[in-house]
Amino acid sequence: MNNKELYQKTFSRLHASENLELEDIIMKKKKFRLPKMAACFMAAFVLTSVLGVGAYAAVSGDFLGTIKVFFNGKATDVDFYEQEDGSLLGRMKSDSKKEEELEVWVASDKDLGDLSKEITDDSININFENQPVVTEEEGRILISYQDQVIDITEEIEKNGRYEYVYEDNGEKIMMVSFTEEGDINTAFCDVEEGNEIEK
Amino acid sequence: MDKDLFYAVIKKYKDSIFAIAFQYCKNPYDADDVVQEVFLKYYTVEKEFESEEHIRNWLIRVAVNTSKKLVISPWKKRHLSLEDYVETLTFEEPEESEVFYAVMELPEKYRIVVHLYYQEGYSTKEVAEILHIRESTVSTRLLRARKMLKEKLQEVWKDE
Repeated sequence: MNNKELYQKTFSRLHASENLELEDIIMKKKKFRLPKMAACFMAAFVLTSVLGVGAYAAVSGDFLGTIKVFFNGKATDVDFYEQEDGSLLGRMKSDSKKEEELEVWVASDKDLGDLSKEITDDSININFENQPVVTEEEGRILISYQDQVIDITEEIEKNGRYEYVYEDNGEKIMMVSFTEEGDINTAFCDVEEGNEIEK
Repeated sequence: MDKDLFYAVIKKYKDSIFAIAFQYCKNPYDADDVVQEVFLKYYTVEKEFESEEHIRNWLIRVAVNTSKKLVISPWKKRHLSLEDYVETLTFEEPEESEVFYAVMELPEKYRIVVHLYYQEGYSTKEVAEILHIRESTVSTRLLRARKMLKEKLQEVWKDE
């Protein structure tokens, strides 16, 4: 038996779960991820400002309330649900009028960073216009800043890090890298001073 | 999309997608999630496929990208040790479990190249296209992976 035959014999033993019904697959809602800082902030906000329990959602856990979230000035209602494992699930309507789900998780205050925000009793205003944002979409890692979106997947996989230089009251650098756990980490640095000004 | 066609594609490729996802996730629960995600994308994609080969290549590319995304996700992942998982598999020969462990011990970037090459039968050029890396990089990773496998598996892994 050659190597290829041995390899195929070995890995042909691996099988997916039998339960792949179309209805289950369609019911699995598409999840997208917010930038980590936004998600952490939203979770902390909800934990401290629960709006009261409303109608129970049939699909996604206990309904906690609705919060209006502003992303760079655009308002979107987000319904929050508590999952069985204690995590929070947010359901929001996107511009395409389709429901999208986002997941948030509990974070400590130190993870929140210094975001430009306004808080009222029932809204969060998150303004990223002056700060680059790292997102993951379809397995690609993207940096968005104002009108620019760049795909840094190859560079960061090759080098383990990526430096994004942008203009915000002087030239600044956002360093994107992976933590040991595989999380995306961002750090900001002022180019002129060469100091790490915030994480 | 025609449901019969959809289920036919699932039946034909789900184990293949699972095995690719497993190379990244190293646990069957997350690999199953990837399988679901891939076929959800297939069901909802607005794309004309030219051939079955086109469908297969597309599914595999999506599986690779979806797996990578899952691996770097900050969410809690369910875990099952490889040893516990191997107990659920039905290896006929001891060489098979030796190969399994040796491959799973390879660095991820070597492991996926090895899998696409040996299991899926792709050329180095095709592997490069799927992974968005240079063909020379694929060749180098394959060479190094073979060397590592030979060191671990000795006579079980033949010289190439």
